[in-house]
Amino acid sequence: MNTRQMKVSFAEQIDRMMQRIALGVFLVAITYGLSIAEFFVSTQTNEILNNVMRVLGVGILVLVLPQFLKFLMMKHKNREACKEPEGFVIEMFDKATGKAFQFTFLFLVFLEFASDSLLSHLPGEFFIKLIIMVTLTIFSLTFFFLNRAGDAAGQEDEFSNGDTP
Amino acid sequence: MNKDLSNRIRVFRAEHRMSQNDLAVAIGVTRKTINTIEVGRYVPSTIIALKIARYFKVPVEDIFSLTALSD
Repeated sequence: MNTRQMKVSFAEQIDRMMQRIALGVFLVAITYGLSIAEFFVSTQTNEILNNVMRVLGVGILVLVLPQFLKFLMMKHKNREACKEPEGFVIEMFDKATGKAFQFTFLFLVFLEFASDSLLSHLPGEFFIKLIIMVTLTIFSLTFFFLNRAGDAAGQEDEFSNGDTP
Repeated sequence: MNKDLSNRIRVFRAEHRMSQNDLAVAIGVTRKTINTIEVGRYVPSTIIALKIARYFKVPVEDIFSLTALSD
């Protein structure tokens, strides 16, 4: 594998890893959603939800870990080629992180009022899980939306003759 | 879509008979990055802009320009 191929495959590798991470984050958000639901359901249903969360946990590991390990191995093999990667997907990842932070702040302000009047009977654990779930959901959905918008932008090129100059 | 920055990557690719993927490989980014730069959805970093210009052996201003100034 030459350096040029290495660089490209590294860029693609990072994109794939970012997409897997976002998907993993979305699944984690679902897990938090289920653990929030546990506050409102019976003990028997709690058991079912616990099992679903365990399955989701394994799913997240299977989804993210192999891609992350591939990325680490590639980075280890060619440190020079892997310096400061950048591109569309990485920027969308950063934008999604910013949006999630902004929305979390607004949600916290909302909760400050709501927790006093409407949700005062619920424990602190509920609110922490709720905030984490909202943050992760906003992050992952924003990322999917921005990334998808990038896919929709695409006009395919027709100039290739197979010979790169 | 960024209205302030226009680019001529597509023109340069046509002159060099290159696909988006060829250019992406040459400068170490993904095809999606080149595609989104071309259509004005993604404003590239200075480093990516300079890499593209260096690849085509032209000044960066030949490829990227501010729309208001070029009108």
